[in-house]
Amino acid sequence: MLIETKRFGLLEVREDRIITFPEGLPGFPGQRRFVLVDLQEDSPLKFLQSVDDPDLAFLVAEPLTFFPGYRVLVQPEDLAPIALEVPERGIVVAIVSVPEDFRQATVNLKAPVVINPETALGRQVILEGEEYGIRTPLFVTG
Amino acid sequence: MLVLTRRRGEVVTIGHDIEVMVLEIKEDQVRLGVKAPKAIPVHRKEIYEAIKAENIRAASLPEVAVLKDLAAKYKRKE
Repeated sequence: MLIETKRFGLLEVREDRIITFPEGLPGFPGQRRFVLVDLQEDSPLKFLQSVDDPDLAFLVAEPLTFFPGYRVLVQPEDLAPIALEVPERGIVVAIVSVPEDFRQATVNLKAPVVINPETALGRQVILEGEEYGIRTPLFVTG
Repeated sequence: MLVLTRRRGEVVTIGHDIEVMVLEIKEDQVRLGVKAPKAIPVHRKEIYEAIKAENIRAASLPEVAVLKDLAAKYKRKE
């Protein structure tokens, strides 16, 4: 299907690539359908583009590329809404905030987005504990 | 707001399928157990609000060109 986006114009997307977030995302409860769009080939940065709101897209990062020790520890109940019974099969991305000075980009490791590729369901989970921050610097600068 | 007094081990029900149990009371802390259907997310409010605010902040992104620059220019964290 064709989806309209502000940043990429019209995008042709296979229906089975559409990820449904049954709960929406915190702050965007009405946005249920997203697609992952590559920023560049083989980049650990991608976009999570809303299917229904052309303006809404998040930059997301594969956290393991930037933080090799990163672990998503959640309860089975956290993954039940996306029917993810084998957590290792999930795709994990973290939402990046990019301020005016993009060197100051931060990533939300506290609340990663977990996608079940088999059911095409997604959910932003909130990790317990103090280990990971909401605004962790993405890049080593200088 | 409905205000109820409960003791340790007692439960409040909300609707047909949500239960909140007082597990432990210690000084100014209360431990609660929440039983709710999978479709109903349960969070500590201040953390949920922080995640919400950060999502809203993250949704205002610079132009794609700037982001590509970002991807190309900066080294990945080792």
